Order: sequence, then structure tokens, then C-alpha cells
Amino acid sequence: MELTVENLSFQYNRSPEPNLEDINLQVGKGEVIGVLGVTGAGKTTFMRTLNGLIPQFFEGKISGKVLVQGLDTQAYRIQSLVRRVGFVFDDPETQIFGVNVKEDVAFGPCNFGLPKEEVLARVKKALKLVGLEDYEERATENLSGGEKQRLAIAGVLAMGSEILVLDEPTAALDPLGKEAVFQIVDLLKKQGMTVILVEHETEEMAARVDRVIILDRGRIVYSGETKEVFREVPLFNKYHLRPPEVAELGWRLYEERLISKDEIPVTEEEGVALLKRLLPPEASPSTVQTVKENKREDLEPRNNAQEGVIIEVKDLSFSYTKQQPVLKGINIQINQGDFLALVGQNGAGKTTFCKILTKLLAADTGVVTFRGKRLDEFSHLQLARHLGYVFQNPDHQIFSSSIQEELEFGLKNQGLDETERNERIRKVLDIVKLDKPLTTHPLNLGRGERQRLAVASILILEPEVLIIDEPTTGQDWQGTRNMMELISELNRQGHTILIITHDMRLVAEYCDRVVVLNNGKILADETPRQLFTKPELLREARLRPPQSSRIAHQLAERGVPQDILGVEELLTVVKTLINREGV
Amino acid sequence: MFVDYYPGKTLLHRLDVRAKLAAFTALMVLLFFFTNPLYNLFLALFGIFLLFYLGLPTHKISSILKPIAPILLLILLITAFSYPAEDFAIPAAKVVFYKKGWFELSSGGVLYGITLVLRIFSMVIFSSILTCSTPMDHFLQLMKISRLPANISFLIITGIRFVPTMQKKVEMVFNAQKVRGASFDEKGLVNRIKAYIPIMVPLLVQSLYMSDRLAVAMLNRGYGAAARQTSLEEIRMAGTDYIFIILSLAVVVMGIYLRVQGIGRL
Repeated sequence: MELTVENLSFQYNRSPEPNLEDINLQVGKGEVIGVLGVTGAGKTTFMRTLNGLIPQFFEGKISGKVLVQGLDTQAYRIQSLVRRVGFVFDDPETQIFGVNVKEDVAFGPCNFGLPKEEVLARVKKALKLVGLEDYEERATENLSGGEKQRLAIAGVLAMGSEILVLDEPTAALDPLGKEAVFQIVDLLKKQGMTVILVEHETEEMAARVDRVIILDRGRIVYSGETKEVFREVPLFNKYHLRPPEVAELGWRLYEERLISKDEIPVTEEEGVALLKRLLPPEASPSTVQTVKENKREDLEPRNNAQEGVIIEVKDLSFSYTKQQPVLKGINIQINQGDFLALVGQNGAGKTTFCKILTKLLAADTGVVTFRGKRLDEFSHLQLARHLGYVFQNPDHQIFSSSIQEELEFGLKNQGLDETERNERIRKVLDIVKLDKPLTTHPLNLGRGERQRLAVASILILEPEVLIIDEPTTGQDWQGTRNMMELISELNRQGHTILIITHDMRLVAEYCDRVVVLNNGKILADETPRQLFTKPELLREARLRPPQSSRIAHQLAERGVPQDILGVEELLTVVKTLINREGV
Repeated sequence: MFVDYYPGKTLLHRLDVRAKLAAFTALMVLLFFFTNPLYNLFLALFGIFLLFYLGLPTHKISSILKPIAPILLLILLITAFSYPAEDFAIPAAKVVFYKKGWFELSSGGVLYGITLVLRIFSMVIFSSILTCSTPMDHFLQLMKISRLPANISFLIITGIRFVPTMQKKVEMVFNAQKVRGASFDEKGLVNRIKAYIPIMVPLLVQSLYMSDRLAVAMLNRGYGAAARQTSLEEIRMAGTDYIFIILSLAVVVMGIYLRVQGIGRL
């Protein structure tokens, strides 16, 4: 056995309750294990026990045993254990030490005092594995998040670890970065490496792991073969996890007794194969018509947009350095009440665009107007009342030592008196549903709560337009859904919303307009429904429509409309097609 | 004073960091040998020449010098009024321009003020030249091969490595305050400094948090596993570097000789 965990329980010194309880797990060589669970379920804590960080670095009460290739993690030094178990964290920033790439990968092997030639050979091999060959001399500081994460994997591989623990390795990455990391996992699996993968991306997990365990409140509440676990869709709902869309569809078909439980697909390929089997080979024109009619009934327009342009951008260009233009001639009108998603790869110019809208950066050329008035005519103080900008990471935005101070900051700038301030604080906390004492230190809040506080600190100024940069990144499904519901509600109340996101499923579910930025230009500006019927365009921007849309695209000749938006719609279509055949 | 590396291919860029440090030290020592502004003026001009030789763009040069200008002026004024004529040896320094009680403006005071100004000015320029022409990496390697304990040099290296990260964080907090209507541009220096106070708190908290994560990441890469770490590459000295070091020594010896002879005094 590569890994043996026996009756493991653990409680951090400062924790009021056990963080892990009675964990048992055996992992054989070459197995790939997926770990699921909401934030705070004990995933990271569990991972920390695998290389001795717990209890040697993070102290607490421990009972039970963890054996790594037969070595007891409580008896061997962490430095010896890491040669067997390599650990990659979610934050690419704090696990890189080298000034350049080569130096960083060499850090591990150098620490073991290996001969120089051996170190260099290992560096080369590791970089090749993660697809970073020829990056040796590059400065680590200038790498993208995805590249940094691959570098971190290389650094661990260079130590010669045979077990790799990936703790939410893609949480901070864009779709392209995520894809690269998952490809590395596939490659390592082929090479016989043992991998433990902690992830919120269930669709990716379903496609590549052998076994899955679900953690909840420090306990393994479910474990089994991948297919077996992913077919239990109610389990996902129970533990606040997001099932793959295809599994959700399968579960509904199973509930309608159209398929057996064993037939529930868990990957896209399985989904397509199943539907090809279920649907009649050819759909008659009248069937197609019926399908369309039925589908339209489910289609509820969510558009809250009203008359009137609120922000207008004309010929906007911007560059940080002359050689690299970031935005090239952007033209866009944002309407009052829009719920707009700005999508595109990292580096496409999304955040830069938002920073120009909020006057954190000044455009090189072009004009931005807010309600017909040029942005230059507003001071930050004036603009803050109209345009709110919530940063990507709440920790980059929160700077006060209590909820009260954090919320008051903007109000004090506006010169509001204490009664008015307290009134607004009460109101905004009610809206974002943050129910904590006002003296609480923001760092004592959970990730989702801090995100809420960040939104509240902007919302309290009652801006008409809210720009929210990646509101759900780094959050579990429950936190994601709560945040999106909050934003939706704000949109219904009349706020114009602009969010940056990589999550196409959220775009499909919540937004009424999506703007694709690619290489500093607007590649598309339409409804999510229209956008997801254009796979070529999406491919150019290196984006992927949600799984349900992708499945629909592969079933065009079976009479499945291409503008499918979400599982519900796909289900209606599939049912109609099957029923018509029965008639 | 601390300026980023500016890539180039000049002789200064090519020299070994040790040779450059030797020359730098020699120049620093020389700056303190003479009180007569003529000698320091010569050194300052030499520094300015080197700045241009490095091919630094003018805006970068002015960004080095601008912030120290008010300080230099202040030093000149204070020194000029605080040294009475009798403190000086040579006749040219003994001229009294104005005197009232203990308050005296002498030519010596002015000259000495100029010397101090040129001294600081040259120090800033020479250290900028050093950092402009030497990649951080070379300093780090120097630290590695010097006899500094591995732990200490790692501490320094990691500290330097995270300077840009912390800078980014500072900027983010500033932006976060701006979008909530704080204005830094309009209210002047005091308010700008004031604005730093709320930043220090989250920055401190974040750096503590980060240091914890870093410690974990270091352990995770086997830091401290073996008594002796492999070092990948070492900076090497070439012929020109030795010549430079010898030259620097010679210059210092010459300076000592001149000083003993009493040349360059005020």
C-alpha cells in the first residue's frame, strides 16, 4: 500500500471540535483518488496529515495512524516524508522560492544535497513533464497563475515523490490554466503515479479519478468507485456539492424511469453515448417543431435591462507598456439593469477594462461616459456613489480590523453622519445576510462571508452599477450559489451588474448578456444562449460552453436544438423527443 | 536610492558583483576623505558620467534624484548656518558673510554644506549605479557563497523575493480605498502618509499569514533535509574583475596619501 490511514482523528490546538474523525483509507500504487467536500469539511486538514505537516508543524490532538509507503508520519521528519509525498497547494504565490524557473524546481533536490548534475537532470525532466521546457531562465514573477501552478508541480516532481497530493490546484486558475493542470494529472496517472486530487470541479474529476471520497465535518461520509459516487446525485445535494450536469440529467432520466441507475452517465462522452442510444436516429420536421415549442415554454426571459445606456465606452485602448497593448479599441454600451458577464482568458483585458471604468487606470485613447458625462469629470469620491468595484480576492480589498470599520470607510469619505451610517450598515448587512457582531475581525470570517463583506462595503455606497471581479473564485458550490443569488437579487432591485467570471455554468444560469474579451478586443456581445451555440468562436477565446450545451452540440442530427441552456431544458427536449417517438 | 536592474551590455554590467562592490566601497570611502567640495564635485561628476554611460533614460535618473532634492537643500541651509568660521583651516573658508550672536554664516559653512550635499548626492548615484547594473540574482549568489549561514541568506533572499508581492498588496489596498471614494492625490503629503496607516495593519496580518504558508511550503520542498545544500551555479571572477579590484584598492591608498598630506581640507 502506498498510503494507509487507520482510525485517524485530529483536532487543532485552538479548534473547539475535532477536525478529523475516524478516517480510514487505503490507497494502492497508481491509484487516483478524488476528494470532495465543502470548505471546512476537513479536506486540507486531511491532506496535511499525509506528509506529516500534521502533527509535526500544525499541532493538535492526534490519534490513529498514517503510513506513507510503510513509514509512520508521526515518526519520520517532514523533510524525509516529502520525498515520498509531494504537496501542491491552491495558492500559486506562496510555494515558489526561485527567482527563475530553474532555480525554483531545483530548490527541492538542492535541499537534499544531491549532486549538481543529478539536480539539473531532474529539473529538466520535471519541467518537461509539466510542459514548461525552455522556461528555465524565465523569471518566476512574470509567470501566469497557471504556469506558476505547473511550476509548483514540477518542483514537487523533481524531489522524486511517488505520491502527489493536489489540494485544489486549479482554484485560482482560468480555464486554460485548469485544463493544463488536469492534463498533467492524466499524464502522471499514465506514468503510474499515485495522485490525491482535491477539487471542486466535479466534471473534471469524474473524467479522471478512480475513486472518490466525500468529506463532511471531518468524516468520510461516502466513498466508492467514481461512477458509483457520481451517480448518487442526491448525495451531492445533501453535502452541498455541484454534480456534473450530465449526472444531473442522468439522475432525472432515472427518476422518470427512462434509464436504470447503472446507466446514469458521469462524463460528457457517456452522456452523449446514452442519449444517442435513447433518441430516435432521425427526428421528423414536425418533431423538431414540437421540441421547439415545448422548449420555449420553459424559457423564462430573465432580462431586467431597461431603457437607457448607463455606461458608454468608445474606442477605448490601453497598454501597460508600448509593446503590449491590453485593450484595443473597445466599443460597448452597458444598459441600465444589465446583468452582464465579462468572460475570457486571463490576460484578455477583463480586469484592466474594469479598472478603467472605475478610474483606477486611465485609458490611453477613447472615451468612457457614465450617464452621458465623461469619467474625467468625476472624482473618485463622486464616482464611488455611482460605480462600485468589488475586487477579485476579498483579502485584497478588506483592510479594516472590524466589520463596522470596513463598512464605514466609504461612508465617512462621503461625509455621512453617525446615525445615517449605522442605518446604512444595518440595511446592507441585512441584504448580504451577514449576521455577525459588528466588532468581528474580518479574518475571523469564512471565505464566503469575507466575500459578502467585500460586496457589502461597496454596496453600502448604493452605487447604480456594481462591478464584481470573479465573485465565486475559491468558493465551494454552496458559497458560489449564495453569492450568485445575492447578486441576482441586487440586479432585480435595479442595480446594473457586471461580473467577471470563468464559470460558464453560472453565466448560463444567471446572466442575460455576455461579453467575450479576447486579446484586448470584444469577440462577442450577446445573450448566453446565442453565445453557446457558437463553439468555434468560443474555441478561439479558449472558452467552453457548459456541459449541457456541449452535449446538445453533439446531438444536432437527432433533432436536439443547439441553443440549449442548462440541464432542465436539455431534459425537456430529450423527453419530448423520446415521447414523440413512442406516439 | 534602490533602483531596479536596468539591463544592458556595458562594462559595468559585465563586471563581477564583487569587483563592483569593491569599487563601490572605494568610492564611498573616498567621499568621506575630503571636506573640500572640489574633490567631491569631481566624484559626483564621475557618478553622473557613469549614469549616462549605463544608458539610463533621463526620466529614470530624475526619478532617482527628485525625491532627495528637498533634503539636500535642507542640509545645505542648516550646515551653512551652523559652522562658525573659526572651525576651518584654509583662508577661503574663513570669510564671514553675516554674524549676529552665535548665528553666523561663513564661507566655510557654505562650502562644507556643499560637500555634504555632494556626498549624499554621490552616495545615491553610486548605489543606484550598482543596483542598476547588477541583477538581484548576482547579489543573492554572492550571499550564498559568502560565509553567511544558509538560514540567514535564505531569509534575506526570500524577503527580497516577496518585495514585489507586498508592493502589489499595497497597491491593491490603495485601489480598494480609492474605489470607495478615498482620494490620495489631492490632500498632500500628510494625508498620503496617513493613508498608509490603515494599510499597515492588513499588510502585517497578511505577511504573518503568508509567512506561515511559506514555512509549510519550504518544509514541503524538504528545506533543512540535508546538512549541506547543493548550489547550482557560482559567479566567477575574470581578469578585468581582478584589475578593477586592484584599481579600487589603489584609489583608496591614493586617497589616504592625499589625506595624510592634508590636501582637500577646509
